[in-house]
Amino acid sequence: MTTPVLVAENLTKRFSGLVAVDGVDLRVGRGEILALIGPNGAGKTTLFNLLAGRLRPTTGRIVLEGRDVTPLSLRERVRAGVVATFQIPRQFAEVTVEEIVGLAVHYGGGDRDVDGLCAEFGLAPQSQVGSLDLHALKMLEMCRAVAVAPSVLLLDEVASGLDHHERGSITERIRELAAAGTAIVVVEHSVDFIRSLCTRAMVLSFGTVLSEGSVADVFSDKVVADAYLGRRSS
Amino acid sequence: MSGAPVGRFHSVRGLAVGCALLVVVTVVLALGDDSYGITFWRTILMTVTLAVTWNLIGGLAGQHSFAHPIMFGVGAYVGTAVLGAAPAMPLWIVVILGALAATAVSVLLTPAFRARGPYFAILTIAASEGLRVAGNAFFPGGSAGQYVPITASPSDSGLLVYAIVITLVAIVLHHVVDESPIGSGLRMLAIDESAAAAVGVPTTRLKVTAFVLGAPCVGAFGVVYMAGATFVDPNTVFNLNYAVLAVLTTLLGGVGLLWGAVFGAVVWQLVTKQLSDSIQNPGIATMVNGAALLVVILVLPGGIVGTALATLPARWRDRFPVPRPRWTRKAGARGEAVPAT
Repeated sequence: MTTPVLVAENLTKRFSGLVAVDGVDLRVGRGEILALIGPNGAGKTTLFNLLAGRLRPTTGRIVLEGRDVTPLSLRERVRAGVVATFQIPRQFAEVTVEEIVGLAVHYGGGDRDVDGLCAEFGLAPQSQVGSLDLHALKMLEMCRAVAVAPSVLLLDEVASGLDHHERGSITERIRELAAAGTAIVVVEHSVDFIRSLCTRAMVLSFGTVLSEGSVADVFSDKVVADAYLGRRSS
Repeated sequence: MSGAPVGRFHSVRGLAVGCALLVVVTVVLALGDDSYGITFWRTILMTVTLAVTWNLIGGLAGQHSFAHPIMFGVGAYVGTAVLGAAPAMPLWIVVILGALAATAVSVLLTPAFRARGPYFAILTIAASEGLRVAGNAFFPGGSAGQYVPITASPSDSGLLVYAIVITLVAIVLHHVVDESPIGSGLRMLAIDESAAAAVGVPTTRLKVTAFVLGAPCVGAFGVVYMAGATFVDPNTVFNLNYAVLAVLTTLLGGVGLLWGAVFGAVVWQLVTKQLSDSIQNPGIATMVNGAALLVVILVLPGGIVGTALATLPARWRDRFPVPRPRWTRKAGARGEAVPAT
């Protein structure tokens, strides 16, 4: 792995008596695509939200390019360079595509041309968000995230609900972003999508790291298979 | 053009036409000798100002503020105090001082934005009512009020000039905000605040901006009201009805739409007057008015202007192409630098 861009150290998140994420360490380097996988309830979404700044960790810290960003708010973290997409894109029905992308550029600290960004993601700038189909909504999520020129891009089930062709176009865009040096963390359920896209995988189970390594190694790990089938590893 | 926004972005030409109409009515009335008509038009302009400034925070930002009576009353009472100290003070200076005082008070109220949704609304109601009660107890004259010691009382026509200027300032201000990234950011946070923050929108800063920007116009109108009535009392100038009026008229015209707020304010006052003229019993007139408003809100949830724009046939829509927001063309150039790590 290249020099890590984002480092999470001993991240723990407790909700009352429930420990959703328990002492997780995570590193992702420039140009790397890391998959966060695990069965339902493994803590993927909580870890994702901790990295994005939507949740504050109970203990542990998150370091972005040497800077401790743990105390930063969601917006401050966006401006620092950590941007996350939503699993279910928000339906800003009456807002236009160019407004959302423009806002991301204006307030996020980017310097990209709005029309150029929209064209890059196959979006018509003047379309109302309410008129977009799921694929276009996912592209808009990616587009507004990329608009702030992030160092780290967090993608939450970006391919879910899309057909094979649409997944292909998303995969292509993610690869291009990684090739340009963006560190990418993907939460995804589709094994095929992960195999075709990610360079490394981290498997969570009951809030802890069950396995970590190359995608091929992780999916050939018997402990991982057991976790996915619902059996507790011994 | 499919999926284009309807009634969202108002062209400068539309702004000019709308403002010109208001100015023409004002000039015609000011040059005539219909004292009642002038006073009634001033009330309409006051309602327009209340509705347009409320639309900034309540319509665009989705923050249901009931703080208008505070700004209005502060304007009226500061104006009274200034004239008490200097009765010959030119009214335009008093209006500016009232506007500044209302703005200062609105800044003091901004911690209320720590609360969200109904809690924010309740906080602003509590602040309005608290100030009214405090005024009854501690302001000069108490609940009985006081006469305004104004020596050079302006004519009805003179007050109308102040009213139209303040109204035009409120309308232009709304237009400018609506056409800027602030307007788009406000619309976005009104729908989903955390999603707006995820895009980088400074949600609290924008809410405070929308709230504070409307305050000077409301405060200035408090001064105009004071100069016209030459009498102020807390139960009148801090009356929660100013907030309710702003909300109702905006709902009637179309929440989030500048010309919806303007249209709703004008229609509301005209209908209310017509009903009070036709129905002798004021209680029944109010009930009919309320019932009519209820029907409009239920049948036309987007308000009269909002619903009319949404149902406009495509061929009509194509005749009036909607201009794109210009700020997105230069968003990158105006982007703020990321602070050094």
